[in-house]
Amino acid sequence: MSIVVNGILIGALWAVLGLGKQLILGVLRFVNFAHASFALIGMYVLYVLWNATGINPFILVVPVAVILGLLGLAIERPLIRPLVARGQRAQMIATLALLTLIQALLNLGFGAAGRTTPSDLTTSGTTLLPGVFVTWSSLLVFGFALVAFGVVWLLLNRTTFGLQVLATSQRRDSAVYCGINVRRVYGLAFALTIALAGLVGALYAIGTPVTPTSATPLLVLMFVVPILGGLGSIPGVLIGGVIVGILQGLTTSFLPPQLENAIIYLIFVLVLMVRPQGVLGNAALLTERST
Amino acid sequence: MTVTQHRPVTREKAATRKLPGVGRSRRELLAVVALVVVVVVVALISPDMSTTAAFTMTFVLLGQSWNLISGLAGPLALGQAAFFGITDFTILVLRTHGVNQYLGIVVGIVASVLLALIVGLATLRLPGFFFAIASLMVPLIIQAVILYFGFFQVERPFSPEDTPGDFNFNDPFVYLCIAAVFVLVAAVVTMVVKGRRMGRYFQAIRENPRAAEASGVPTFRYKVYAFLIAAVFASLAGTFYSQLTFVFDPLDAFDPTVSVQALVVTLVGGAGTVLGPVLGGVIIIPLTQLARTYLFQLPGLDQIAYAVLLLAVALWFPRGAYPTVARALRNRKERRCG
Repeated sequence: MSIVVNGILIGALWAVLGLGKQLILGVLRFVNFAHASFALIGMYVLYVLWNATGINPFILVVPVAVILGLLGLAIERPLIRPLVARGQRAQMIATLALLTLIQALLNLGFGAAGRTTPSDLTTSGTTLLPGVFVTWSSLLVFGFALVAFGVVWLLLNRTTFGLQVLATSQRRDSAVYCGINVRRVYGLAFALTIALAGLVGALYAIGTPVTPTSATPLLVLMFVVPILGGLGSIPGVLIGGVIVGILQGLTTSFLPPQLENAIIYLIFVLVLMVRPQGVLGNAALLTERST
Repeated sequence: MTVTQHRPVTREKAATRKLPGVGRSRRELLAVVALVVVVVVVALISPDMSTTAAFTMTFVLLGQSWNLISGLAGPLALGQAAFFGITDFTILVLRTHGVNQYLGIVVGIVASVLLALIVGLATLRLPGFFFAIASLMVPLIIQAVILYFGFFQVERPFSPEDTPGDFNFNDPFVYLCIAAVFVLVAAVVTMVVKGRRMGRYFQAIRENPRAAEASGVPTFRYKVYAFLIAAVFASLAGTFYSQLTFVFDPLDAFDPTVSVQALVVTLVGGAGTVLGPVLGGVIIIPLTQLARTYLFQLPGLDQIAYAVLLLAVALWFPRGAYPTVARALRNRKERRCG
């Protein structure tokens, strides 16, 4: 029971990670391997901010998300825009390069030693249900994840911007004819996904030592979650995130911790083989449409 | 005006087993031989360069591996580090247990081919982007398993009775020569594959998998073949890497950076050509190695260089050096003749 509850709590965080991925991949059809490394940047930005100010890290995650969003806006034009028209192959190659570049640069800047942003909320907690202990920090992370999810959902469903994103994702050319500034939509959507990645990274980093390789499990998770939930489906990522969270809880309690990530990778490869369209997915999205 | 003209193919020419484009591959092979000879001669003149040259050949082999699966046959493989690392690991672990290295190399290559068979059968049916992600995961899975079994570092043992009978040479120049021979073998294999029916199938799969499938090409089977040959090349690279470095670290050998290196070497030279990986490797690897040794003493500088290069190539020169130059030359020739 404790595993399930904690799985749901952490699953919400993975759902937000998957949400950003889903936006960029399922909706805008841009393959971004570097997504996880922006989460990594978020982790280090949080550490730097905390080191400089000493404010409670749970407050600092908000500026981290903002900074990452601005970073996303800044790199969208030189790096991402030329790739949108190039097709998936070039996107995958270029963003793989970006992934290793960011990792190497952070390694250069911070070294391989772990950096921890501590918070006393990671150890204290409360008994939520009989026999189920949860830490305050995991509740807070859950809260942040829900808020982020809600904000994005409102943004997509209740604003003009959301409508523009939807139109662009359905048919780029027609969106252009309708007077939508498609490039701006791509740019803002990309910045939004980067901000979400930064938020997830920052929340993940509280109380956990961060090294330049910390993003590798996230690299996998960010693909696992949307694909499990179904490519192109926003509610799907919630399901995917929770499934992954619970599976993680199960593997860590029944298997040695070193194998935790290996099991998730393995499950992912199995999912790809058996049901690549995911739980709520649209199978047609899989095959084509590189532009 | 530069209009690419298709050479008319006469009927008897089309009927022979020689397929169009074979002559070009043969010229590329000559260029490969020339480049390899240059590298060996440079190492012969200045022995300090031997290690760098041997590393160059190692990564040319790795590039040729990626070239075969992704440049020729099409599926974007992002996990060639798996085959590179598993051979490296097998050889060194067997070595620490006193197994003869020739046997170790054979076992390492067999292990890598078996792995490629399992991974290939499981994932090569997936459409483009899904295969790419799955292949990216494979080295990470193996890395996690190897770390779990406690192999954080496997040091290459040294003993005074090391002899050539144990694939052990104290001079990197010898490794360079052996690696150079394998680079030539790999280039010949690539050329032969390209010129035969298999190469045509690969081209069909690369250009349009669905159309290839519809016209009766056994796409899945041929993708598996390409994957297996590529795994052998990557294993050869892993073999030489295990001899040139003194320690095996699963965090290094299975890192995405290794796979990135395979991409860089091939894409800079020109993917899908016989010459591409050799040209790319000879340009890049010595530069980054020398920069790391002599200019900056920064950790991970070569990784940064590879990543920046790959990004630049993907953004601005997707065709690579050799096809770009070759096309420019051909255009000039046509202009002069016409």
